[in-house]
Amino acid sequence: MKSIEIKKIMSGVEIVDLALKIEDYLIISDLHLGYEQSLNSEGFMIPKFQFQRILERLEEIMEFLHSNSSPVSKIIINGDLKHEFGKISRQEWKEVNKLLVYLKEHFEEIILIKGNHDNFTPYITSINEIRVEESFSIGRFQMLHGHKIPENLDELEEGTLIIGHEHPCIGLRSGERVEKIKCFLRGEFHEKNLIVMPSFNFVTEGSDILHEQLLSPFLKNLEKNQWDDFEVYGVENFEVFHFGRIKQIISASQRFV
Amino acid sequence: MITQQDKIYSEKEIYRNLHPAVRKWFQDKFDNFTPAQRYAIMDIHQGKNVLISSPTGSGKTLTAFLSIISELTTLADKGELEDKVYCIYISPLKALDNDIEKNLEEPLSEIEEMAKKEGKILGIRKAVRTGDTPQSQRAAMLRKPPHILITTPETLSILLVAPKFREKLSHVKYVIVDEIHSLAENKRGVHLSMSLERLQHLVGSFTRVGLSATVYPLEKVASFLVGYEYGEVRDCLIVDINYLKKLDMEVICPVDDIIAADPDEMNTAMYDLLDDLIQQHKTTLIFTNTRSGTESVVFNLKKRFSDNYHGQNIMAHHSSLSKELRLEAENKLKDGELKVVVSSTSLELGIDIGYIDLVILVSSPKSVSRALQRIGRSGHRLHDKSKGRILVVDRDDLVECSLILKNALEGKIDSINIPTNCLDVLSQHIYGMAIENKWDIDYAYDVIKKSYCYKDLSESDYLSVLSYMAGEYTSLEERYVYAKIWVDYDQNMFGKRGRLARMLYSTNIGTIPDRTAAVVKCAGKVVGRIEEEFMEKLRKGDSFVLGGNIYRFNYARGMSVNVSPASGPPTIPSWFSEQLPLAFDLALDIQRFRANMEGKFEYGRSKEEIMEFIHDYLYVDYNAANSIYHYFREQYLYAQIPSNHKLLVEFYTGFGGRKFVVFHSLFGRRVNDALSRAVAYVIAKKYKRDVMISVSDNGFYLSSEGKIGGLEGFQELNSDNLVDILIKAIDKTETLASRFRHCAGRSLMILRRYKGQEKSVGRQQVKGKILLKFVQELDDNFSILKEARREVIEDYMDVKNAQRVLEWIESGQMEVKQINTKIPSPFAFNLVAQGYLDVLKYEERIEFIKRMHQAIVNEIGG
Repeated sequence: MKSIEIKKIMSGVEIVDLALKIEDYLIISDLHLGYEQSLNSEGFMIPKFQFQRILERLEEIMEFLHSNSSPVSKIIINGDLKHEFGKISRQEWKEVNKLLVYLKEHFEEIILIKGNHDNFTPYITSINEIRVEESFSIGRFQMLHGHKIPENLDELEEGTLIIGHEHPCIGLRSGERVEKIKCFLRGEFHEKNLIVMPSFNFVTEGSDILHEQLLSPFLKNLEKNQWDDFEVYGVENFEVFHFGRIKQIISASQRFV
Repeated sequence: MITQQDKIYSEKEIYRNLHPAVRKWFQDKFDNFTPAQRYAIMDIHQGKNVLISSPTGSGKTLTAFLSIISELTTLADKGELEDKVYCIYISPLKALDNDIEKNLEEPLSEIEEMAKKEGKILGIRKAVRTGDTPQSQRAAMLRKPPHILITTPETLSILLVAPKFREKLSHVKYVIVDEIHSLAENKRGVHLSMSLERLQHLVGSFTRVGLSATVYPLEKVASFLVGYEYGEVRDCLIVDINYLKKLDMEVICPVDDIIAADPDEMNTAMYDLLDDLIQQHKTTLIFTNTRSGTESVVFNLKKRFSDNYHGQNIMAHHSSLSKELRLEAENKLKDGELKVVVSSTSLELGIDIGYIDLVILVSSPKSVSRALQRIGRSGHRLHDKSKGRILVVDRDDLVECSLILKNALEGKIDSINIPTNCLDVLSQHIYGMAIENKWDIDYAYDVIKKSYCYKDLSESDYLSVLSYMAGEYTSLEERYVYAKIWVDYDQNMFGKRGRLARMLYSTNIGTIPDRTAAVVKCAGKVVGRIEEEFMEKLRKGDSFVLGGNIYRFNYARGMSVNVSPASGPPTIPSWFSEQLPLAFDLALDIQRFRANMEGKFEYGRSKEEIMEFIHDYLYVDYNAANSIYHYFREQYLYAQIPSNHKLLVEFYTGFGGRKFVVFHSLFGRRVNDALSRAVAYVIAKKYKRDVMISVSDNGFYLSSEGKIGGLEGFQELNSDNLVDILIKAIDKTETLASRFRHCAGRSLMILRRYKGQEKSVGRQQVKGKILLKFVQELDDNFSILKEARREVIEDYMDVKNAQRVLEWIESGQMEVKQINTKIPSPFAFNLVAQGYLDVLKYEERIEFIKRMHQAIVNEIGG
């Protein structure tokens, strides 16, 4: 069994590999099932491989939590369960169903949060009698996908927002070599705490928040000093690497080059 | 068997065999036959395979066509000319196809005229068919097929699967392959050689005629042309008419003392000299090796001599320019409107460019055959002299170009490299064959092995391609998406899968990767194309040169770049285009010259004697001889002269205690790339240290912060383990990733045109990497991965000659000598002055992440 490093990102929230744990909820985000078929339709004839990996990874996490006597009984998928915007592909029908069957066997409760890729997800999940929510709260934490800022933001009572959507990773550069590593981000947004989750898929690492354009409206419109203060927690091979604040990484890496 | 044609036919014999009308037409036009014609026409007439090698302007194409025209005229005369294709002419360029059609127009219409006077109608048709041919003309060709079909390798392979047109090809009697040397050395040629075998399988037998510039060895090109039958090369005659065209060739240096001149002085002197030479001649063609070089020469000539050069009389010509601009340059040349045209490599091939009286090579052409090909573009007819000048601006260039001059004058040409066993090209053909009909697995293997490029194809490689094409790497239920063919191992058969097969094949075949896809638009008008890597470097406000004009970069959308006209010096001076590598044979000759020179110094010869030797040996003037003498003398006195007997390994310590190990391995960049990466890999593994490498034609260096152990690393390499080590060394490189993407495209695992969309290269890169990662984890011997590695180590690098070098060391033919220097020796200077090329890392990904994490944490803490 894999040994997994559990790291507290803030009080009540722990990083467990690419997932978060709050109470007995496990939270994962941005699975993008069906991505291979979408690549196929663009002419990249890559076979389906990531569903199996997602399942294996999930099993490893649960097995570890169980043995660590901190099991989880509920799961939250924080948006973008599937990939296609405007349709349901064959692969998506099959894999979303298979995943839900699997999750039902292992969890008491499944909560799906609607992402921008999930326009058609409710058609599949309704068969499994699972509802798709805009957001979901556990005490003072609210999970939402993060592709749009809720209108009633300032009225929300929850002090912490947890979003996906961004697929954050950081590119570490040394000489000619660049390696991207998936990461969690933690910072402040409109006087609330904000946590950004990495994607739980294994096709790509994501987009490099240090060098590429940001996607989520939560991050795009931040003041520079606010963004610079975000904390970065890299995750690789079940280990967590706390890199400090964005401004620190940038200034440190400038000194290397 | 390949045999040299030494029988020269008399005019009478040739005339006797030509149709009277063709004979009369020829006699009206020409005084007599050229030597090539006297050697070859009769044999083509008799249906023998012939490879004709002769310089441009020697009547090569007419040699090939004359007896074919005569044969068609005879048939037409007898009323036996049928509606089918008799002759296929294939050239690498659409432009050349169009030229040939125009050139055939004259004889065909004039012979038709003559026949008309006798009350006959011949009706011999010819037509060009390429990717540009509109649907209406294609349909017309099907109704009335041309007797002479003029096409490209890619279109030929598409025609082979066109159900109706294929019928029209099934009685072809002649196939002419023009500029065969330029096809043979890359995958387009590999592709063509298989298409010819597929055609041969359809037709039974036809006569193959190859037309080639000066290349060596012609036997190899002849084998490539004709292919094999039952493991034996088919018969072919070689007609070699070279060096009849007189060469007026010189190496010139713009300044008296190449060593003392500073760069500014040199630059000014070079442009003054260029201007002088251009002004003394009617029309000058300048070759640089790179597109950026081309742009910079045009830019500087216009800037420095604005009275002499302006938009109307100077133009650039290279493959990144739009088709319209290139055509404009070609037409203006033909009409004699241009004083000078500057080209990277695009004007090397035989498209008609009118009269050129001087060719200038601004940097080393890197091989003798390339020098001859370029200089051969001047002087119109056979007996005109070809006039070429090579301008050199540094010491290594001077030595290199002097050897090129020597070898050109003495007729010693570098050997051609023909890629073999390319599994990606094979995938395409297996698909094409499956579309034609069902095949027995063994029978198809036999047909494939008739191609020169696949004669040694192993059965396991063949079967691995079949397995890939059958989608066996995916689960059975998913296979219908990925499989292009079905394979029935019980019946030992394979065939096509899917109703879209023919369409997919026709829109995705070919071997030229989409790498230069960004279109540059200025005020809505396409002004050229830039490489995608270059586009990525551009930031808003940057300006760059394209087609001799300066543009400011505004924005890029997809693969379209928006620019506006700008002035002032460009902020991005150049873009990286792959430099031409020095030919291996030429490199060895330079090393032999080095050995000679060392001998002279060892025996204490006087300066006069040595100067005399250089002057005689290299055919250079005394200024050049003087510079070469001083360059070698410095090296001799300061260190030692490396040569073909002595591989010099120079150790020195640079700024901040950085260690450098310089290998004076003058074997060309392709060999040095292979050697340096293999050594660096051994060292990185052994000492767990990052190693910087830099590679040039003249050698390579390794550099590291501590002890490198360059020599120990090198000594662990041998001719047996080199390939294995090198494959590991390239595993994580960008070079492998991009070659893999190209190979996946050729193997149809990435479909460039699919479901009506054409993809940007940028997106292909990211997704190509996803595919590579998947394949690497799936199967280390996956055919596409194997091919990508082969391409990197055999075609991009030169692992075979690198192995030869190691064998020389093993046999003691070449000794390895170590020296220590305080500052780099003169021969090492250019190499050390160039920055590093790559860093070889020993770390695994997780180690790298841990180290970087620690470094950042330390920085923050401190």
